[in-house]
Amino acid sequence: MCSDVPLLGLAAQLALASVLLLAGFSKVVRPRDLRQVFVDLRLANRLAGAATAVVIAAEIAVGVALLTLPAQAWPRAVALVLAAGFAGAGAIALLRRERIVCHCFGSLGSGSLGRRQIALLPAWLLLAGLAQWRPPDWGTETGLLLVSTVLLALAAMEIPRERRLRSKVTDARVALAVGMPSPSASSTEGVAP
Amino acid sequence: MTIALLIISCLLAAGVLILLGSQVELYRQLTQIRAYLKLVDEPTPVDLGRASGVQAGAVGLPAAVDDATSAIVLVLSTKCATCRALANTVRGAVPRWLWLLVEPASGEAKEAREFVEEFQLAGEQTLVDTDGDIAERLGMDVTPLALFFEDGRLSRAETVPSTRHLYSIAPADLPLRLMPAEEPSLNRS
Repeated sequence: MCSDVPLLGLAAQLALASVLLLAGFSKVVRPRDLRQVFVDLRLANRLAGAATAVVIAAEIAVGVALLTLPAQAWPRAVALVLAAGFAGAGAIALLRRERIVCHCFGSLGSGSLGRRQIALLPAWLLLAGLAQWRPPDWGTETGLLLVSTVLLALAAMEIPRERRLRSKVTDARVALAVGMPSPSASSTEGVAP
Repeated sequence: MTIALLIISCLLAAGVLILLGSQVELYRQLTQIRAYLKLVDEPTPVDLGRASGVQAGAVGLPAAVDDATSAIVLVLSTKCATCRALANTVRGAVPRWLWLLVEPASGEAKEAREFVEEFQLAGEQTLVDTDGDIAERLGMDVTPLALFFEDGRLSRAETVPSTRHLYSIAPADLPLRLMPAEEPSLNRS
């Protein structure tokens, strides 16, 4: 059991970093979705744009910092602030009885803001607590290697989705191309419907 | 030096992730645009009734369909506009996975012959149902209609709302081009 304790901290730190990197990078592609969340939460348009940039940058920066500076406490603290923000947004949506699409992981999901964000707050606290209790002690080089590994793993997870959609679009393109009536075709002229 | 290389590898990995994500987003948008432009066909399944599982040869269709592991028989009427568009698509070169059954709307053989001639469909893969005998045995009077045969037996049928759909139902292991001479045979032998 005792030998497993450092591993718990390591696993918790990796989990925190991976979730934040996934959340941050999946929003980079469609930042306007997150902006819409802030607008739906009745934030002023101008502030919504700034808040979007701050949240995305924070998620990525904290994800990288958790891996490159594992002994530091501040990345875990900022991760908790972000988690508290997510829970707060969920609470606002619940109190207003509004259905606000979360876009927590970009286009990967389409759940609503609400109970889930609040229910996940203890999980964030647990992970951050475990990592803080037995912080990993790898160096910056290992941390950078972990960052690139996590990012490549996330990219690998996108490949099946990309292939599935590409196949669908390619089939449709071939079908459209061959289905287009040729300019010289006159077969439908004078044909009864 | 090592740190610099590791930072570069992180940036490259981030680039790969963002590019893949952008690619997925692009495909999703294309799919949405197709749906918005109503470029998504909605074929209607047709109840096979007593024809379910029937052998092609038993209803008067070419014996070659019996021998194919997978085959599609396209039923075309000489008058319907979509049927004519479909016939025009396979004009002069019916793919090997496809058989045509021409139903003359007036019941006259001359009309069917003119249809076959007009779209250069004459050949072993085209059959004219002059007296409506095959359609009667199949119990179907919908055109254009795709009949799907698996191991020589009728497994399902659906309408073909457009030429796009005809190409989307082509066997996955065969290229979607109209060059029957270059396509591998589907026959089990």
